[in-house]
Amino acid sequence: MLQSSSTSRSSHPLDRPLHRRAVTGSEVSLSAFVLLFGELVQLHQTTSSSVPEFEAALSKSGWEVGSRTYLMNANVKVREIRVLGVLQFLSSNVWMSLFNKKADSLEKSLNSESEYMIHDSNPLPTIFCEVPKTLGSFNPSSFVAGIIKGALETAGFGCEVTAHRVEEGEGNRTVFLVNFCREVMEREEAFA
Amino acid sequence: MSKSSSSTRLGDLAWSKSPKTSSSLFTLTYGVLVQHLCSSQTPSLEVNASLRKIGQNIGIRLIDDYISKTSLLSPNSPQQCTSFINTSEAISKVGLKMFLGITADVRVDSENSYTLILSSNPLADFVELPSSRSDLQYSNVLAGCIQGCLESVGFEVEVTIVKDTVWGDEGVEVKVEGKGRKKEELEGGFKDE
Repeated sequence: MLQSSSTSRSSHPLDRPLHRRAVTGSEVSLSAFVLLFGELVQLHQTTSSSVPEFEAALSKSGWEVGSRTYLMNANVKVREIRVLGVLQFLSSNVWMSLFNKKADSLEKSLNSESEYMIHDSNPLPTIFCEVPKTLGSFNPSSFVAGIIKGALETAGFGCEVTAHRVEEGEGNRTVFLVNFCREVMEREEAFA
Repeated sequence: MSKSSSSTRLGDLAWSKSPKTSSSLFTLTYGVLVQHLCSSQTPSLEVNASLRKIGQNIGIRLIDDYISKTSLLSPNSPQQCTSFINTSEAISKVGLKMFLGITADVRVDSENSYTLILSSNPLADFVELPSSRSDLQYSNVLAGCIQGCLESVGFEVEVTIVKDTVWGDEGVEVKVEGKGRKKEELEGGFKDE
């Protein structure tokens, strides 16, 4: 009796170390992830009827990943309350934990106070991904846009995030446009 | 014994050469996939079947990756799965290591079946099944994957998850039962007219 209760307790997620480093490796092979992601994309493709719906579904999946990653990495003692702070946390810590690198750059848009841009070259979902012509403007990076939205909204920063592919010489660069909602900007002004 | 250590070495080598990504991204993405399948009140039985199908799709592609990488890394002694029992070695020491970074122990149950014992479940790090989904085979994609791989190299198999960390077990046990060799069949389009 005792034995069985201790067994079930030891395997409860809350009793295991959050970061796998201690248990197994902290990494899996890229092929395993890419194939899994491919299946997720196919699943959404079969259930959605249009490109925007498809992107929204993929972004919603990303939201769940982003939200959890934020919670896993967030500093429990000091919570980010400023826009720039949370964006820096996102483009370094969250990016590091998911993609093993930092985002290439973080910029403030010149057009609007509430707009920020995160640049990333070769974001993970676009590797090995060829968008057929029939899908037109579909961008697999909407998954990452969802991750950003999920992390920011869980941190208390309501926003809209869109992914844009930038055609530029070699490789492909993706810009994630983060547009914070009005309440967040009002709060930000109150801090300033 | 020597064969066993050569497989371990091959697995380590393949792991060190393959490009990697963070395991939390992998685990969370898989979680989202399962969540999506479960979202619309789909009965667990159907979700289990979908997960297996997804696993098979992945397995069919992984085996190509596996064969190309292992034959590159050890051109002199390719890891050939000549018999059904041999495949246990290839899966536990090379395949799992190469793709998930873990190895498994093998328990040979009979001539036609063996059990892979994984000490942890990389798919279910943060997972707790609600009581309404206690019949969900969360890691079925792993079973599907192994099935897809083995069927691609001509083994008819039945793969079942016997124990899983999400059910409160210490580790994961995957039972692989051989059902003989697969018959080579030509697709309809390739038949002689």
